[in-house]
Amino acid sequence: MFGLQFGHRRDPFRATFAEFSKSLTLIADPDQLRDNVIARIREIVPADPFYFFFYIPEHNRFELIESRGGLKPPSPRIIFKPDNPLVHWFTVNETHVQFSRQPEVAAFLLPEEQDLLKTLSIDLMLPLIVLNRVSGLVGIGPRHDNGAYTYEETEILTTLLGHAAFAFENAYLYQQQKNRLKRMYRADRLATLGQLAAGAAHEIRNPLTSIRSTIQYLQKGMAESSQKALAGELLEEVDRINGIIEGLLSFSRPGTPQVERVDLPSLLEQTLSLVATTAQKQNITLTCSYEADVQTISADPAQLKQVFLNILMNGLQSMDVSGELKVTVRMKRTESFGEPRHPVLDISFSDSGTGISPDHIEHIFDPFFTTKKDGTGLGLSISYGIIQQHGGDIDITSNMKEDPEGPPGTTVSVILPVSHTQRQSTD
Amino acid sequence: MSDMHEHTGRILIVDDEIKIRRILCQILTDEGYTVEIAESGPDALSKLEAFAPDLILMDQNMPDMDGFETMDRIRATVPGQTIIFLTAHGSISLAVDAMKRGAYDYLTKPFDNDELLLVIRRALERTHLTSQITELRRQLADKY
Repeated sequence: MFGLQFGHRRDPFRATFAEFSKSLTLIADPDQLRDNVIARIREIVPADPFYFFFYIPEHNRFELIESRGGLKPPSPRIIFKPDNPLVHWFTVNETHVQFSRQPEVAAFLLPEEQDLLKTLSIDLMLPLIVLNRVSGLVGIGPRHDNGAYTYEETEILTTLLGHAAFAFENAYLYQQQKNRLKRMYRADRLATLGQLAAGAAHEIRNPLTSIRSTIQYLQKGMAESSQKALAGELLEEVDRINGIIEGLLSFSRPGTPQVERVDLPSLLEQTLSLVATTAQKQNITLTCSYEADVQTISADPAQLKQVFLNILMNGLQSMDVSGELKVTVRMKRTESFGEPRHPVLDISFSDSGTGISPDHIEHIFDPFFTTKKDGTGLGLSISYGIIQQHGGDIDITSNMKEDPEGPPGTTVSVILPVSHTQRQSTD
Repeated sequence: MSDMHEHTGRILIVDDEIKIRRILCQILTDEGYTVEIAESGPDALSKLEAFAPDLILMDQNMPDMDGFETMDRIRATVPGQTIIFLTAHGSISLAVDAMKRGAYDYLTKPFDNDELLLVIRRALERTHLTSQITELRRQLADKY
């Protein structure tokens, strides 16, 4: 119904365009931006189906993000790899292609790429290009009359996607910047807390010394065993206080990692076997899968085990009866302004538990923050300190039961640098 | 009390906390040791020659001159001085550092009194043996 007829077309498009350009500068939310762009494209070319692919740096591939009238995302098999001919063609030619009209381009592609395009019945494809780099792909089905897309149509789409590509890049960078700031604030806050804790711990230990030694001294002189027992209880309380202080100290200063070559699969297996019985009692399935070929890494095995154990126990405790706890090891690529950075190791622990509420997640690493009845609130704080000492980071994402975003549960990702450079301890 | 025999030995306690000095002094005096106290590094240095301790209990964290510096200075005058280090930090690296600088042993605050006494007894036994050997060597050298 929206054919392109000469004469009437210019003005409505110009209006669409002006409105569109203006809206792009206002939207920083990628989802909203995507909906907006898709709506505009479909005003211009109302063909079905319609697919939107985005380059995902973490996975180093183009993934299906949105579709209309075709296969739905997420679909792990509908991907395009950046090193394959299709993306390569767009990188070099920086223009659209209509496969039915340009069979030589189709012939240039890998058989699996041709098959995938056929399966999706994509005829017209356009790239999103930012700084000479393909950041996304738009695939559109054949024209309703099975004819060729006109020069006008493709030109308008190209211009529109040119604007959109920059808007997406902006939104992406904005998001990244926001996350980076959040992370920085968190690291800063925890470092301050750590210093405070270490100072307080030291100050408490001196009076604790005279208390403990004096009680023990007085206890020796007591004649009655009931009195001795009372003094003994006091000593236990003193030791309890000291235990808490020790926990605080190991958060602020977990000790320089004794780094050695560690066989990651066997370390994970050992740790998983420690919680296997508990998991079995709760009817929870434990799985461990590798999406990357990782054998040995540089780390402190004892400290790493402590971190893994802590995260696993938290996961198990978040599930009442039955559930799933999945450990996934993968390599994650990150990039900054299109420049690839060093890949990092991502060890993710995903549970199907109750999830963490958004206002709790901000404080999850704070010492003494706990929602458990008999928790000390130091487990994750210490884990965070250990991973920081390894030059890595811990990421937590979570969905509550009532969350529409996805199935409930929490994913804790331990990120470790691949080429481990040991940090100097400031101790 | 099970341990009836009195111990002998001269012990210097160096700590800036008066309550800690007082209780340590009490415990060690009861055991039969001869005890002197110093409330700072300089104070310890000034009492060193007159008191001539067999053993020094040295706190690590003190204002102005800390335990490390005091220890270095003491060992410059009395190279073989036996020193036990007391620290409220409880970090391994600190303890290793203390041992490297010549401390005989270290204890983390707060400590168990019995453990303290055990460490002291062992340290004094060693000091005693070392001085006996030195004495025998000297006698041997005199003879020939």
